[in-house]
Amino acid sequence: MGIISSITSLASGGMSTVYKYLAIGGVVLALLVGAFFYGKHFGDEDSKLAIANLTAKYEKQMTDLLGLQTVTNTKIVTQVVTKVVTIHDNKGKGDVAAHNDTDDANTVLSPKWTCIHNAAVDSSDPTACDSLPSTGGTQK
Amino acid sequence: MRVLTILAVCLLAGCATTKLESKLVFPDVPVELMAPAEPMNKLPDGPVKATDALAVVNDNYAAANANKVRLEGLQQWIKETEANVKAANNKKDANK
Repeated sequence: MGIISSITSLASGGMSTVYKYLAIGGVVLALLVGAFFYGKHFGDEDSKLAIANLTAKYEKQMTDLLGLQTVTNTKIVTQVVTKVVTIHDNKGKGDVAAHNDTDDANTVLSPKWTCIHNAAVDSSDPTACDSLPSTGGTQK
Repeated sequence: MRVLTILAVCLLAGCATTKLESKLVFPDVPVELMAPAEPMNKLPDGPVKATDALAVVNDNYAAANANKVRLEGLQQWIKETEANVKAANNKKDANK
């Protein structure tokens, strides 16, 4: 005879069949609940430890990543900003050079030329400019 | 036997562990690389002198080049950041 049977016969000795089953059920339920909470207790402890370890690892990895990322950010931002500043500097020099181009100062572009340029700026269809005059001129 | 099986299941349920995974947060993109694209300018309506047009073209090329540089920088940043995240994750896996 097993332990469970012993416990249930002890708990239900001399009772009617209904009470016997109720007693068996009660014992089994008590065992189930006890087993659950016994297991849960250890599960909770293990979980806390696992979460603490994971949090520590995560923080360490984030620190490592931010260290690597700081190097990457500094390098790339420096490269980009330096190049953009140079581009803007040269743009200013180009504007001055364009206005100093006195030989072309009085040359007026044709409406077609201007229209095709503007179509290129916003990527619209340049064939809309076909009907415009393609003759420029001079202006004083 | 059935009762013992149920007991074992209950014990295992109590001890059950959930696999916890931590994913590294993707780093923020530097604001310098997220600047809006520089716009290009059209020529004004009416007669346009060649020198004025040249100045506008000069500005537009500068805008296009600045946008190109920012795009290249952003692409490089993405590649390097991806490599950094992978390196950090691999390091984490090695620590397990």
